[in-house]
Amino acid sequence: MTNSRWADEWMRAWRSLPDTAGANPWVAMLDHFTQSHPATYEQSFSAALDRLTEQSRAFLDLGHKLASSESGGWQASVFEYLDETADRLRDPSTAARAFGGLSPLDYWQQFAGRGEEPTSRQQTPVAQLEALLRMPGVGITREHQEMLQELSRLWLGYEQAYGEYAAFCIETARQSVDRLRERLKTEFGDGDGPSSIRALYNAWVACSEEVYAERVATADYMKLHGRLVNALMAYRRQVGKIMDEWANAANLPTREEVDALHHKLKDARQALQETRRELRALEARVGETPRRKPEKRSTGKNATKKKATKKKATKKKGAKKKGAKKASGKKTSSRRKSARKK
Amino acid sequence: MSDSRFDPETLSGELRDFARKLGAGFDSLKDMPPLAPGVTPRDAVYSEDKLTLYHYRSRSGKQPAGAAPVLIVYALVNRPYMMDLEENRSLIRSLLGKGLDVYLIDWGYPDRSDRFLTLDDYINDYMDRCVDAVLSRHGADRLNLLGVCQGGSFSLCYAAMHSDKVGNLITMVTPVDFHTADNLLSLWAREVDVDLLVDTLGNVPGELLNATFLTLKPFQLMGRKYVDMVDALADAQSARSFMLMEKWIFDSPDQAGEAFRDFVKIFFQGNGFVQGTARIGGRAVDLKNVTMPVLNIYATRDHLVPPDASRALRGLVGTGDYTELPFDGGHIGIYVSGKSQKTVPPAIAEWLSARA
Repeated sequence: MTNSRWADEWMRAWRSLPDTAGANPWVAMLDHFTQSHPATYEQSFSAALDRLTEQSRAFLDLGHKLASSESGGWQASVFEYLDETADRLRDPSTAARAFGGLSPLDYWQQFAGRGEEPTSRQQTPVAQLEALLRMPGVGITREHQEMLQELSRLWLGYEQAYGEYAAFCIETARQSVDRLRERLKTEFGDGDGPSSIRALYNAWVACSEEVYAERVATADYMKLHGRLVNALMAYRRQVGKIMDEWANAANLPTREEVDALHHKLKDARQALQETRRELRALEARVGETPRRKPEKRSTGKNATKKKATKKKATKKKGAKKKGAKKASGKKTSSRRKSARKK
Repeated sequence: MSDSRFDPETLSGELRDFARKLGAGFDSLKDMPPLAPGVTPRDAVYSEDKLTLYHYRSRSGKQPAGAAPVLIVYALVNRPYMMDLEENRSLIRSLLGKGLDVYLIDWGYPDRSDRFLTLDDYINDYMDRCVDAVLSRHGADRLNLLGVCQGGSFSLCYAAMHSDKVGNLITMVTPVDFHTADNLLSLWAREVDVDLLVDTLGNVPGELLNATFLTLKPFQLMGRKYVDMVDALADAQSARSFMLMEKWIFDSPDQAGEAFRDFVKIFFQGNGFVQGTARIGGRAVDLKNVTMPVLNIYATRDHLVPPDASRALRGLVGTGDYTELPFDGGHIGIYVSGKSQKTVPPAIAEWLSARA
């Protein structure tokens, strides 16, 4: 059976199930399907599939709530949903998830690796690194204590910046809800309303993008963004220093050492490239050196005398050369000599 | 007053249709083989470290006789197979079809050993040696340079510092003025301590850049796109096209730390081209030295490189032969849309032909 028919089969089965009041059959179907069809796809598709599943779940959740609303008329059901969303955004325990993975906060969390919120003091990042430094053979020292104190301070700084960013995202979502409410009233008034769930969803995305674009193009956001990134980097840098301490104690290469090696390698490479450039330039210059023209040979009476004189001179020169070779122990050619002169 | 479009039965019907499409979409994906982007045959003609210089073969197998070579310089932040994505969506194939002889620099995937590569290394070393390799193959003194996005910024720097080797320069969706009012990336970068960032991270992860690009339009790019995906998965071809784009979007190389530091400080924060403060490897980069003909192509609905950021080039270059070509589309549509295949390669070929 193809998956498209599976949806119809699922709905038939759903209707026969007892006690499903309030549950969302579409989300249940999607969850059941994804859990019962693992790893049948090309591995490189998995991230896209996850995103498809997550956003489909959010869409189906929206659609089911509207379809099962007992309020009369589209305005009642839609605005009831928007009111519930606005309430979730006001509640700190539900605000971050009010938009179901459709928030810049989620992308930041993915990069920053926030992980689970610590539920006890032993689980805080500082406590975990403290445990690392207390390992036998490492042993916590006064320097380590100072590093941990600095880490605590930086962690608090990051928590504060993150809190500000989360508040910004939640306020953006709240304003998006208000913008959508106004848009629907303006566009549809008491008329027929959006043509479909998809049309409503698209309008919501458009309003969210509008509000977001207005708010992230300000000087205030520029500073908030800077504080968030800089606070996380400062905290991570301190973590790196502590990890290097631990690695050093364990006789493992540290980041500092490896970076120094890479630096030396790069410097050596640069020197090699420079040498190659100079060599090419020299080769080009040697190639430009004009050849010495061969001496004209004369014919006739004086040619023999000249030849004999030349022979003597050549012999003398050869003797001089030998003497010079013996003295320096180096071989040189007349061509190289004349090239050097130039 | 009628509520028939928004009644429970109609809405339930819409959800059932959506669920059916979703199921059919999972079927399409299940049957899809692994994706291998890049459709035009090519040969690796030079390589160094992570870099490979490719020469593309035309369909006929014959290289255009006498055509001055075109060297494409892509950005570091994404993979260049965007320019040769599919059969009917390949800017490279279209350029070959117009008789051009095409080369491309693939920068590869930097790793920790590339941590200390600078912009000087990329532009005055790697790029220069690729240019020399192409010139040597053709026995030529000059080539045509085509820079894309950040690769366009690199090409501008190169043309300003090595104008003797560049016959014609084409820039596509290239940021020049990084401080236009609508440049969000630049605005967000202003208060970031990039020294702290690079000193902490070393190479800058591709995931960080991805997240930053996606947060330019988070609700569209990470929300609606995936709800619309059920429509894209409706048939095998559109499903494959969607997944190829998806592969490219998330296939972001890490950035060599020092090169990233240079680029952010010189351009995003310092706006080096406009302020005249850009220096690469100690050499000043003055766009007044760009005296060869320039074709500047920009996308009118580009949210990554706003049109004004590209158009600023007009007032900065020293050439008297400057042409602008607006493309009605976005930053990515300019390479992959059907419309772009019909307009951009012919325009490039015609412009080059007039300056051969």
